[in-house]
Amino acid sequence: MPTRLFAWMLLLTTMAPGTSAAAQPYPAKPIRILASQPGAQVDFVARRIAPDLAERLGQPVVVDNRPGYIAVDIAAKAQPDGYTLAIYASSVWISVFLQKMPFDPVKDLAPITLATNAPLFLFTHPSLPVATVKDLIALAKARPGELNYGSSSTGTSNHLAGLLFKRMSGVDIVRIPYKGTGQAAMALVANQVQMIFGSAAAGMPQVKAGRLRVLGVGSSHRSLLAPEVPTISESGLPGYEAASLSCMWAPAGTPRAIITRLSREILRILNGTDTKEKFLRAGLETLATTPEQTAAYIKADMAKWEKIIKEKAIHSD
Amino acid sequence: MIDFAAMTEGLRLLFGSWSPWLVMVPGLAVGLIFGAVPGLTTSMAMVICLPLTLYMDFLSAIIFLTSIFTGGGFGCAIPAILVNIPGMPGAVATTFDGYPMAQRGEHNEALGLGLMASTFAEALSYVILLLLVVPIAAFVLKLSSPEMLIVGLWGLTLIAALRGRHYTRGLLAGILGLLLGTIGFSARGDIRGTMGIDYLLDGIPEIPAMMGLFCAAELFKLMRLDYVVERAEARRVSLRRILAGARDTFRYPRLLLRGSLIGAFIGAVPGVGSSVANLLAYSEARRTAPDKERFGKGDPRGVVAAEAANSSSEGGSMATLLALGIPGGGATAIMLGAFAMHNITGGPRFIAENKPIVYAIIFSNLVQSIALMGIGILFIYLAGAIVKTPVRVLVPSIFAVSIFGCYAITGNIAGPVTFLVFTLIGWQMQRYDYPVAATVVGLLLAHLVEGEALRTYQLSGGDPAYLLERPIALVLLALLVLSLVWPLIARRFGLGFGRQFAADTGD
Repeated sequence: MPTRLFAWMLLLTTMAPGTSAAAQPYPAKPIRILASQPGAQVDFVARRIAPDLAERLGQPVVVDNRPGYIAVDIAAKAQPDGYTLAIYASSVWISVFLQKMPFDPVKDLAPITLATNAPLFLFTHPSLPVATVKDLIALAKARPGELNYGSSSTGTSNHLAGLLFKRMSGVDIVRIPYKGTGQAAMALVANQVQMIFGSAAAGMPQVKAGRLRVLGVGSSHRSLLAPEVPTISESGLPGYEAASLSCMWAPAGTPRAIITRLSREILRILNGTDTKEKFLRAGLETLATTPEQTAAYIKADMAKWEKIIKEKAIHSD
Repeated sequence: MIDFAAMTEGLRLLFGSWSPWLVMVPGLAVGLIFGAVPGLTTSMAMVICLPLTLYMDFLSAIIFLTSIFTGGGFGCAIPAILVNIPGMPGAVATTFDGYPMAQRGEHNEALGLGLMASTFAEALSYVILLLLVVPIAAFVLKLSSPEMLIVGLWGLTLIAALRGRHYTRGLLAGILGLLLGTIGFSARGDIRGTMGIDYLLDGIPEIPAMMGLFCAAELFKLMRLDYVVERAEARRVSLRRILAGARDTFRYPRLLLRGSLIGAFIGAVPGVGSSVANLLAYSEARRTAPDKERFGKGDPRGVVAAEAANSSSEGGSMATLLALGIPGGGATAIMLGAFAMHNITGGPRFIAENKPIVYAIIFSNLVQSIALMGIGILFIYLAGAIVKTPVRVLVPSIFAVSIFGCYAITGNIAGPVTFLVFTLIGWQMQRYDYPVAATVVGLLLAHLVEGEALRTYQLSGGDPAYLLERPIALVLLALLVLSLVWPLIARRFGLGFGRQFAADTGD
């Protein structure tokens, strides 16, 4: 009941300027992009896009931080007028198989673009006698149930990457869930767990200092961030692909013309060399897909994960 | 261990320009305010100020953020002492003795004690960091789930100390807290006890629940009074008495030192944080005191130990950030974000490559603790107005601020609703003489203890012999058991503590 009241209040506050805006060309008022916690990857991406987008559209673009899925939930329930956008990680559409979500990531949202990919690297402790993914799989098969992999909470990209690894290689490794990636990385450096899937930012400095070893990257191709690191697929697990993407949405029902306009401007920003370089320095590869490509990718990705999650009954993993 | 050339360079960095000094005072003020307003937290302040740091050089940015951290370490004690509502979970134990002191009209002294203990502990934790940053980080790597499980259990024993007048009710209140803490996703990914409410998937929001419990307990009690401090002449804010309190801090050097060390140690352990440090230090101070029945009734020692620990946890938490590039908690994660924004890579090689900056950060924090003393006193003057405010104005104001704070924490209606629900629970508990503090301790520790228990089980594969491979865990466990049975042994053999224990249980 209070939520509904709040929604009504929100609606009332947006209604007055909304009616006048309808007559004017888009955009006629500030646009807000909802993102999760400040400092998170998607927040970084949103804050990089916002000023350029504001310049191109001639209206202020505000990044509004809300914790967790609430950011996407607000956008999913907002007026489909192009003034409320959301950016979030790929976990949004995978989580529907894990928990009840307050919104439907396909029906309630219209994708604009997959903005970035933070490649997930497979890090191991140097004491583990493996140099390739193939070695790792052989070792894990020889010692079933003995190797642990660290992850943060259920349904996050690094958990899912581990799960996919387990399923595709058929090894028996134990998941140790930590509160966050920092703690999982710490556990790996301390050899409490023997492997984690993590971002370049989380593990590469440790690799350079000789505290960790990197076996491969989860993308379909080698990463610009570390071209010398093979893909997991070429290092011993053909066909493996797990990623941590960021995706931008408008509410479902947003007029086609607005989506096209936003997509055009945002893709130009993302494809600028300046943006690409900044993202790369932060451990992100720029993707910049069209709305159609984005929708197709989400559909295919959901089909892939639905199968894996239903098969493994993840929530009790 | 100390590289003098780098140290000189660090000092030159620090004193060579104005900018690191310009951000220190605003940082401390922001930290004090965010710490003192219930519902606002230091991490929140740091997040909000993070974009500002883009306009500063790297050193100033880090100094600004650590100033917020430092300010918050004392800020949260102010409402804990004045109105019995901790500004952040890190000041829960400060309420136990701080507020009874305020009620006696000794709020000036209590705040002085808290400020001095915070200042001293903060400085000490950075001295420890200066000397031992690398060994601390190496030691933290040796700690894993079994060790942290035992630390968590140790914290839970505090529930017994908070029992109030009835032993069983204290225990029940603690268990209630633990059970409430298990709501939501477990570490394994099972969903429990959410009653179909999506908002509870992430568990009960701890801070709104804590505020609700404390707030109700206190505010309903206050409504029968005109002022927090009943004697009119005691309500004044007096610099002389604040300073007297500050001086008194040093009458308990052992407690101060032990509180600081507990704080620095717990702070360094990833994912534990200042609230556990605060509770443990208090519980240790009480446990080792020869006259423990005086705790909880306005004993300065409780304030000193509790405040020393939550402030010194800052230095501890910086250890893993600087030495390993791995953040142990929310605040340090934001600092790592600031590193990235300045294109500086945190990691195991950060210290080796940036020694002067590390020294400059440490020295600036020593100066910060001195500055905190000055700004803290000014701030106490402002906050002291609370005791002069009639309760009929104070209670609704605190209620309103709390509700806004709870909304800020969760970003949706779940915060205020949680607050109101727990206000009712707290009110009823208070009415039937169940100690709400025990419930809060249970709630704060439930996640930690359960998560670590699960990880211990998984890492060991269910084999208890695993514990034998972990000497630190064994030592901690032995200490825990000893601390629990010591009073019994002492009584059996007629040692000093035993007589006190007999007096303690005899009532």
